[in-house]
Amino acid sequence: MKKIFTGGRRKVAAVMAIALVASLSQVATSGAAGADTPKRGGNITVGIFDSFPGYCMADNLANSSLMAGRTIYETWVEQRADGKIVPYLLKSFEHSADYKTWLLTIRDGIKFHDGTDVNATALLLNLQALRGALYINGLLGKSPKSTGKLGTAVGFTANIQDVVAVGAMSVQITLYQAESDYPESLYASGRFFARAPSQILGADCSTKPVGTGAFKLVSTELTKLVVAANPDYWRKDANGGKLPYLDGITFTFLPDAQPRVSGVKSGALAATMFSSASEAKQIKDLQKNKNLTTIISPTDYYPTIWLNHKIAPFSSKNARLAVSHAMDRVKWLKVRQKGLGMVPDSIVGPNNIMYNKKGYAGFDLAAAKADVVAYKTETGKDLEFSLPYVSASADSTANAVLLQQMWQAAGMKVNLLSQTTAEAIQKAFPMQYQLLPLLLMEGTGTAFIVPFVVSDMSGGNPKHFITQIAQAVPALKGLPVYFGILNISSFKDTVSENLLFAARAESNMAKKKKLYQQATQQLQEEVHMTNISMLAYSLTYKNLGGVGQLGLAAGGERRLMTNFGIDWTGVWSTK
Amino acid sequence: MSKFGFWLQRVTQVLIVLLLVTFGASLLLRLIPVDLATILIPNGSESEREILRTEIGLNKGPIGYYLQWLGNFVHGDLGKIYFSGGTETVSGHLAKAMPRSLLLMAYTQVLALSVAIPLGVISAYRAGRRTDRIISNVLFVMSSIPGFAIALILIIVVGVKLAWLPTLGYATYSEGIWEHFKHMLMPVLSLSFGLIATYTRLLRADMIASLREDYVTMAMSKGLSDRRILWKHVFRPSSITLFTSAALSMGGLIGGAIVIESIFATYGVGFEIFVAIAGRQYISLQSCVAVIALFYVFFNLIVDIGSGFVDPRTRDRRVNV
Repeated sequence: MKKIFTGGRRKVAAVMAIALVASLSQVATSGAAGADTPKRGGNITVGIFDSFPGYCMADNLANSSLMAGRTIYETWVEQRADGKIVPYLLKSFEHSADYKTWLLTIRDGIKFHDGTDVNATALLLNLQALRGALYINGLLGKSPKSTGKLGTAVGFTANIQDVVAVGAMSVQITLYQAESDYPESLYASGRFFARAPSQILGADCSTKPVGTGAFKLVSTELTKLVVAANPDYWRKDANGGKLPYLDGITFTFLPDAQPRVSGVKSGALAATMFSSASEAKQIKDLQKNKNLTTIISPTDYYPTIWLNHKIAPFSSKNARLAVSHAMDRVKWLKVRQKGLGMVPDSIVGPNNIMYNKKGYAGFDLAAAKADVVAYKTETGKDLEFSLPYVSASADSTANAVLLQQMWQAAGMKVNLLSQTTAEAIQKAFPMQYQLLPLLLMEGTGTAFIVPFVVSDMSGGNPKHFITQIAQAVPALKGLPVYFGILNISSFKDTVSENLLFAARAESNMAKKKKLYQQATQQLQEEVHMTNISMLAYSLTYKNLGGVGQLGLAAGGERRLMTNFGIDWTGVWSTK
Repeated sequence: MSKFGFWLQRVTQVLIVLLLVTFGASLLLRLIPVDLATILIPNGSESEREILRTEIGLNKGPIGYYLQWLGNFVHGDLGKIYFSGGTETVSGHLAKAMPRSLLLMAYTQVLALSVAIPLGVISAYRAGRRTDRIISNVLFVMSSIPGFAIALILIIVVGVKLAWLPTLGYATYSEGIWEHFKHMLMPVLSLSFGLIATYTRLLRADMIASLREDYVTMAMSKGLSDRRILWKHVFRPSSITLFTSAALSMGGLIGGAIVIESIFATYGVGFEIFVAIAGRQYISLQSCVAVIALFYVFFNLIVDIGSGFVDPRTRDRRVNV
């Protein structure tokens, strides 16, 4: 096996390279600078815009609450500022020549907050829980506070054929299809945490998070998470000093942007997060404030308009083209995002390996009108569809109205369909709408893109245990099918799928990129989905030092700002 | 009608109002044209939804559902808040939120009455003069500015520019009395401004009417001081409308401070309602509405009892009727 990363090698060169990349990255910083000397102690409050639904496998912490959750949890691997995935709780990952077998070796001496060791048993249990195996065999999800149902992670782990412990600190994963960038899937955009076995198998999996992070749980409720410094945290700072610096953090759910703005301005909040989806005005105002520092993530978050291929009108390519051609993305950026973000010219952003402008159906009103006519010629019907939106949300309503105007300008008839958020979620998996705007895809890699644009992740893996169980046990026929459920456009395209799987298996980066870009072109030419905007997230803070300064355990800089905010391990209060 | 009969009638009326309000809220919930079980646990399986329907009575008719909810409510079970990781009890949320809202309401009333009573008395005593005109104009301006605007102005000036007071959150007494009041001051001021204007005007009007009564002329002719006449003989009978209005606004303040509680993130009942609406937690919403209705009628009852003590004529008139 070839050892890709052992940690510590060529550190100086790597750090220099990463520093260069970081300096050229798109993370924008404005305002006051933090002090340089770390200061220990202090409790701070951070305002977030997501609540805390739980901490078990099926409980998805979103964006800002994911930032809070990641103070308790750490991931097996981490993403460097240059996008490369490197070991974190793992010491190394090695692969076989065909990239179908991966050996994960855990770093020595790390303990969970409950005092138990992070070892092969823990990693194995985590992977089996993510795959849904523990739920299937009844070890998880049978307690009211242990909602270990088959979560979306099942789709993300569908390519795993088998997982076994091969030593006290090593686990071997066998994949059905080759993945040369499998660690990206293990990272899952920062979501595949190391949870303690006591949490996973305990009765309170959803409410008692036990991780390895710099902070430990003090209390949690739907609107608040309080964490305190973990005195036994395994990482040290550059001088060998203990981490973290802060005594504790309270993450408080503030759904309205105004209290977050006034809170950080007045100092009641040490930091707070915003999304450019609906809070661009607040982000831009805060950027101008010289007493505050605002950092903005790259626009690596790609809201998609998913077009249901199973039913009319989007079973027709003409209809899909009409919708995509009719959207004035420049106007959208100006009106809805106050200029914060970028006009998309691909289904993913320029930082993504799949980025390709070819085949993208951008704004062209004349073409949209011609597509509408072509649709009528093809079907004999006017192009008419319903756009679901959440009427209780002013932003969702404004978005829906603007989209309706754009589509109607091209001759389409658009009915606004008022939905609750819960209905939208329920009807999206599996997709029951004609069309649905939903942010799913993100990042510079493909781990958080491919599962949404392939139709047979697990269906293409006949050895997947869920496939076998569902075939063998009649009582489990109703088990949620995850083989293509994440692909909510419900399309089947063997061309794009073969390209994507070939790209995933390819180890030559140039060839890999080319294959991914060809897949993107195919997806765009067939208009399997489209988009109107790309998003960024921001964090504004005051009286904090060390933001983004603590590198990764394996060397190199961590990404400064993402949809899950910043890393709080090396942050201190300057107050 | 005996006194006992009168109070029995009042209590019966209160109970009927409560039943009607809670049934109305329950009925509205059932009129939502979607399956509530799907909204509450969107990612649950059909069997889990069926269990939920049975648990909260959604599989029964509107009356059956209401009776089950009511039975639980009177036993202190106000339902649950559902999310993917489990549930939290509405009573648990309200147990935290209610004291905050009650304190906010109490401080608001104390401040509003403390300012409005002297202003009302002075304004009535100096009716038509410069003092009265100044007070009236200031009150006019105060009543014209909505509470949320005052809140935002206070946040910008007092919270951000001067950094005197925290702009959000709540501090318990255990975190320090001063810290507690620092957190409460701006929300209280925001809610008080409008009330001060209303209360002052009510008291002024009633006192001017009372000052024209014969017994006031009699008191003046006996040589009593203006202060004694105003506070002992005029204020007391003139305060009925003021205290009635104050009591009625208390119920409204508990649930009606949604905007102010959201701006200052005090996590009171108003904030719970805001979160329940945003998160489609309809069971929580129904119980919150019921609790607010309970407080509303309770304060109405207090007004009835209180006005009888303040002005025995009202109690006697009612009894005589």
